[in-house]
Amino acid sequence: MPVFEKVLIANRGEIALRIHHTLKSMGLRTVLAHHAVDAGSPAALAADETVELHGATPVAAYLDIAQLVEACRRSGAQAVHPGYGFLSENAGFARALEEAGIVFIGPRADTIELMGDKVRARNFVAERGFPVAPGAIEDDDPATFVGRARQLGTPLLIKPSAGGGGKGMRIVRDLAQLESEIATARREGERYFGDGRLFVERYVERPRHIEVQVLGDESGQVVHLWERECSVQRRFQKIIEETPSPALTGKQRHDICEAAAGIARACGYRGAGTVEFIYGAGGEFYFLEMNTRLQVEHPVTEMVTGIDLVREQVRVARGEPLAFAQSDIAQQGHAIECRLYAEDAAHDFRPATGKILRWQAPAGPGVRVDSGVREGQAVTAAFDPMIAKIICHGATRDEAIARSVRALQDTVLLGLTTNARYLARVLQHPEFMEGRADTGMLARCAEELRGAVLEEADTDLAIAAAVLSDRELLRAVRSVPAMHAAMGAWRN
Amino acid sequence: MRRRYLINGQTHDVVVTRGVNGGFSILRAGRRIDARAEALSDGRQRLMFDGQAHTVWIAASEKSVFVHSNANGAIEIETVDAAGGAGQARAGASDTLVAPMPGTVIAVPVAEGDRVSVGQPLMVIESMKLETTLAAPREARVKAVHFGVGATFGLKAILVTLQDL
Repeated sequence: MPVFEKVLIANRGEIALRIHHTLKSMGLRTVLAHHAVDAGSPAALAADETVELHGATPVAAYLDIAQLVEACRRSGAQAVHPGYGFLSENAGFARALEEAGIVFIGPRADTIELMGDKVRARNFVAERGFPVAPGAIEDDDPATFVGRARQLGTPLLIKPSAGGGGKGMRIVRDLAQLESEIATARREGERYFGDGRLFVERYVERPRHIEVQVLGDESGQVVHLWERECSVQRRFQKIIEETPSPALTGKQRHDICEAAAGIARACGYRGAGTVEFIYGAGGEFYFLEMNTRLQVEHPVTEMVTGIDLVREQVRVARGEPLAFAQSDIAQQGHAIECRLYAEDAAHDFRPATGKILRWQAPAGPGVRVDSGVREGQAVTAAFDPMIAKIICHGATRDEAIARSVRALQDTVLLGLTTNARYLARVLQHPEFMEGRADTGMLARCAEELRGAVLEEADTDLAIAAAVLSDRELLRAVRSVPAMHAAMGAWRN
Repeated sequence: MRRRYLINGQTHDVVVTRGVNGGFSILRAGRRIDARAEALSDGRQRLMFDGQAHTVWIAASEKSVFVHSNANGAIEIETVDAAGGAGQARAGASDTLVAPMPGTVIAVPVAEGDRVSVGQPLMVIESMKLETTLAAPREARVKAVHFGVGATFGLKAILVTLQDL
């Protein structure tokens, strides 16, 4: 049974801090590996020790396997938690650690490899009788790929074999565009994943994204921790997630969760993972992919089950058996996560950068905020624009929505544009309130989700704030004798 | 004193004068607003004007003031030079392709001297993992490409300059 007392966190931002908190609560020591740009981040300040990583760019530093292995050696860390993103789904990293005698807190390298290849994963799942959408895989016979794709009929979805995160995905509604869209998807696949191989699937209309949290131990025990719905997306990226899904009936929930646990069992899954499905308006669901890591949206599951997923990851990595059986895992109430992004929703979600001048996280009953920023820190274009996750729990879905709206209104982040108010508008939109949101909602409802034009009184308030914080202006105005000042107020 | 502010793309001209009771008078759109501020111990400000009090968070950078009220969320108020400033940059937008966000150049499908038509891609940029294609706003000739592939640039950097045919 591997024993470790010191864990290196190979990540940054909110997830690094969140992992640190659980590790500390388990009596472990933490080492944060970070690039110089994150030296003053809350995670770096909280960690017991830090090791600086170097790289041509900050992202390159966090992706440097050799440096991270060396950082473990130097700091004496006996295990690594990779968080999400970066090296969390890199089989080479898991192997390099294993060779160095360091525990990777995650699944086995071969599981990462299997699920990291979207085509292999799809075949694996289909061969074991789990549902996949009708599709055509380029590698099966590259010469006939376009023809086979054409035969499926529209609408089609083109995906890179090595893909993820919506990168390089293309919807084709007109077969005349099939070949040019394939060319574009291939270029993006090559750029993002260094792999231009593709596959196409029947595109499910009004698709909803439903995923299931699973947890497996070394001995092959697997449980699911229910589903999360992540249908509210912009550019194929989730911005609001919740559990339970308002789309599912009791039977569907059971079926989809059992299918996920079955897939995890079939690959001997170890640790925390997520099986993603596309769910259609007719109640059909198809395997999409499996993420072999902790998800960004894992807190909603923690809120309704009371289970700390990072704690369970660590326990499994130590070789301990799961502490609970499927029947012990209940969903209590409803939880919603909103991702606070540095972006301008009014201008096609373009990323915003700047220095955080004021940051006041919301608080209150049922409110959890996972963030990794502090005042004075700069949000740059180097990383993903997520600033914080605002997670709210309620006894009912309506209560969770109400608490989330309130929390977003109470979120103070000054210095750069965020999507806080946009998120609140999405939560209050009838499609979301009635539980009808699908992955096309944000694009379809773009007009209705636009912010109201500022009223005169609000403009007055904004201008008064600007005037009253303009020291140079106030000093100049104060130096004018009162009588002249009064004259200045007259109209010509 | 005059000030020109930019809020959500709208320009507002005001005249600020000394008011009564240590406050200030703001003339805007033909109206006079008597305003006064009081700092609260938790860092918030109480703004009083038109007989009403508003409790807000305020923060200022070199060029902008940000104000958060629970009713409206955060609003950015940019101070622009009354003589032109940001307004002028906008007027000349058809001659220059300005960076809508900071980022990195991924591709430059045109070369200096090329003739381009409306909507033709001039540069592909990436910021925070998001790829954006910047297109020609009008028919023109490419006068200069200011950043090559791999170069990084800041917000509002001039990326490409165009000239009439």
